[in-house]
Amino acid sequence: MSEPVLQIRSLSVDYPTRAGLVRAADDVNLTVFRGEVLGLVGESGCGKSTLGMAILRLLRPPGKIVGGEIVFDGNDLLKLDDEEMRQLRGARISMIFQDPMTCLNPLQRVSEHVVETIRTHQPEVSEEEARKQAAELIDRLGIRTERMDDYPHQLSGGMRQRVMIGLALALNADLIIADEPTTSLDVIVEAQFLDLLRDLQRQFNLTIMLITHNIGVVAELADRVAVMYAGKLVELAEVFPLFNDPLHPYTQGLLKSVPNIRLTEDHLQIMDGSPPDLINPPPGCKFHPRCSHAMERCRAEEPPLRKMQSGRWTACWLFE
Amino acid sequence: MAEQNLIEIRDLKKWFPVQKSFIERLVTRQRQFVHAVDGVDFDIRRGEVFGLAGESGSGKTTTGRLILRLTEPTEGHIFFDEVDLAALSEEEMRRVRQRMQVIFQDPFASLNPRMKTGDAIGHSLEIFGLAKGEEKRARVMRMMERVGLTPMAPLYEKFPHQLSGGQRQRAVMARALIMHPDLIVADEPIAMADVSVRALLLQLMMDLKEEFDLTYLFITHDLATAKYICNRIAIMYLGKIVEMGTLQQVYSNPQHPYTQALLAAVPVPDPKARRTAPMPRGEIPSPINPPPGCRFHPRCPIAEEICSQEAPSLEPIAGQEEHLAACHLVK
Amino acid sequence: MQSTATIPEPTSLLGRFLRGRKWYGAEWYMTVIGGFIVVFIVILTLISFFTPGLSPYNPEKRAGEPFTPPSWAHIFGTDQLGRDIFSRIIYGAQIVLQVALLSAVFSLVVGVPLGLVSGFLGGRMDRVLSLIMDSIYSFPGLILAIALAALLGAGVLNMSIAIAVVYVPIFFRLVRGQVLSIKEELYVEAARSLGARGWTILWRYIFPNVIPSIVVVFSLNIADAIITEAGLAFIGLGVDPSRPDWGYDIYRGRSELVGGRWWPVTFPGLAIASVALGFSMFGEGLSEILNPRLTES
Repeated sequence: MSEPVLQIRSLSVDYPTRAGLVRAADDVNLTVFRGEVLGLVGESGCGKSTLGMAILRLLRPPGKIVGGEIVFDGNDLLKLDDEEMRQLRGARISMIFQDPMTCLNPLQRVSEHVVETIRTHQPEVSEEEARKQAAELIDRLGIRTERMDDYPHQLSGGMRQRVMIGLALALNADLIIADEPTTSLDVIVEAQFLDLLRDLQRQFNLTIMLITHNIGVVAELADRVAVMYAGKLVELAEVFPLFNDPLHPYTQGLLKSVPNIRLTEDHLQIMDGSPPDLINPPPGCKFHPRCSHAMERCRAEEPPLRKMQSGRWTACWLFE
Repeated sequence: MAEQNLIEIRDLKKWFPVQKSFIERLVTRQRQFVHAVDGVDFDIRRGEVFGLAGESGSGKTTTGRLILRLTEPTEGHIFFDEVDLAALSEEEMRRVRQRMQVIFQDPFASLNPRMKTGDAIGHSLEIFGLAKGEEKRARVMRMMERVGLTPMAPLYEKFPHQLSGGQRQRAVMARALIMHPDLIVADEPIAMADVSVRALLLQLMMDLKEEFDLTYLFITHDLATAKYICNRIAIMYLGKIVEMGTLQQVYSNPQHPYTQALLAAVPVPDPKARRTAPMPRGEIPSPINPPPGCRFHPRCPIAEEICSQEAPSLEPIAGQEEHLAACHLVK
Repeated sequence: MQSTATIPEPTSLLGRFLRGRKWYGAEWYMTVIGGFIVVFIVILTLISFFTPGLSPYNPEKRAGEPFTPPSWAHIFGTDQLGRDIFSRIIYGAQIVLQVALLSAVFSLVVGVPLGLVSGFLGGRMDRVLSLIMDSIYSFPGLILAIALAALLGAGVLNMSIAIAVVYVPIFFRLVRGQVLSIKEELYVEAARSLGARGWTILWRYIFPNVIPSIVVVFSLNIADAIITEAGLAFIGLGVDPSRPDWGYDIYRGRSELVGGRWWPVTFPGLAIASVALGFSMFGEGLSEILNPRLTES
């Protein structure tokens, strides 16, 4: 078992809104191990993106972290000051967003961007040497090196996403957080990107936290999967056991309601209801109004995330 | 025109002129066009769900808009129940619109922010003088109930920003159905809904189809969803149809290399079914200057010389009248 | 992707205000303070219409020694003819607000429909109208107002028209620009697909979405018109020299500044500034509220 790279303990995030307080993440406990791809899956509003942003302390105000700790390399990230955090971002924890256009400076050539990233965190490297490293990197990403001096808008969406991985790789980041990296990409480009990510991950033993609502993408790439619902972590397991035998009723419903192109037409099962209002969430287990196994206890008390004998985790009274 | 066809599309083309800067216009005399839809033929039969699938730049959305005449075709014919839509005046077309409605991809953007939900749903009834006042309200409420937009009375008064995503989705469905059209053009109707709700919405669409005797043109990039709901499907690439047939034919026996790649690329929610097949190189080229000959040839793993010279036509594959592919290497 | 969780949202402005947002941003404070100032002035003006008794003295008659500095008897002091300045301020509000409101209404009534039609129909009419409006707009506002005021002569109506002409292009350009961008919105296309005709689209889909910005500009327009009116009065092109008028009072009192008599100028000046500021703040605050894109996602 490899060592933990990131440990999130009892993390809670609140968002004050016009209509009330939203508990975007509620007492989340999660560990990311070196060399693994951890899939963080859930629908919009479940808190997965919030978690990713919270790790890098990039929450948009008025959102704020109201409890817990995030341990990285022996330090609680929540206790670091701005300068220390800045040095960490990009260099040791890198993020890939859904829309790369918003993260790449439109006035800066791609090569310049990579070179600058390298030299910001490793000032001893010369301009020439950095450019050489950049060229190697870009080639490895499957982009023709003639294009390395292009501006971001001259590249396609898929290429820009590759550049984003490149930036993360350039500095041997300990952890790469990918937030919906393929959602804006066409199907074939998405497949190419996932292939690239898989290859690079194997080659460099990258640690990736893959945040997405796309169950298929998670199945393609992840080693372990964490399922979130309404701000809470409800299930955590390795990918094969999770898909084979989902424990939490939400996970079961979710997996059955996603179309699978390999199966015949009648396999979809409908899940009742819709994700809850986070300002006035249901009492007890937040999933209970939609759960066919709901018991009295579920309406009254919220189940904690507990470890099963099999080593899997789930937050459900059915398993107590 | 065959009796069973509600829609017949013949050689439909839509070319958008490319905006050029003043200098560019001075220097280059020639005009450039985006070949959004470049010679498309297909039929939609009454009562079926016809899927139009493809990635960005394929022309699927533009085709849908052409059928609704929300944009004018550059060339070609669209026959709706024997009537050539291109020949109609604006006013006549307006009347035809009672029989064909659309569900757009983004329900929030397609609802007037300053119109109450109930009014938005029932507006077409007013426009065509079919109902007013109390009667309009009653019909809207009935439709709201039918699509699951409940409780009806309070939701009638709400504005779009006060509804949840799922409610807006249902509202636009109600709006499209209230005049009992024959055809519904659904452009990525569930793409913006939450994952756990999509199945519900698909089921709703199927139920409504049965109840109201509808025909759907289902435009999507999501082949997994298309498989769930469509009867026949056409795959588009860079403005042309590359393969078309029944669900069974296209999904179980895809002939065109692009279709094969597309079907293989769709992520499967099952780690045991992880993809091993390699993907075609490169990305979709610009529709302004599509590659000569077969548009897919630069990326095609089995391309031969003829593919770069001559564009293949959409023809039935051997022994299958309904399954067509546009590839030199198939027949 | 949108969440399907229901987010309860109060509909009316008042409703949202009453929900008590303590942590909400500066625009609320702007609107509130601006609103208060405006309401205060308006009430004062209305009262001065109906109960001359509000002002302690008759603003047009001598009430004390000329040039008395502010004191308990005369809060703002007296002017060169011994008239009580405080009373003159209250009565002066009448003229200022009448002219400002009237001119803003004229501008709106002319500029908005023209902008709607021009933006919606386009074509040659649009080009011609835009040309005319741009020409008026490019003319320095105050100069144009002066020229028109001199041409038309004195009087509330004439003054309002003079100022209105300057502001018509502003409404026109605003509305036309909005129409052009709203025309491209998906809900307008949806309306066309429902079978709606041009006028229906303009009236029920485009116009209601233009209204918020019209309201904002209306408020800012009033603020601007107040200052323009005062400016015109200052150079002697005012409504009526015999009636109390803030701009005119400044004109009259400015020569006294040298002698150390600050109150004839300062109080009318403050009045102009605060009322204009009030309307401005109200308008700006309203703009922020109605377009919350920049504050919260």
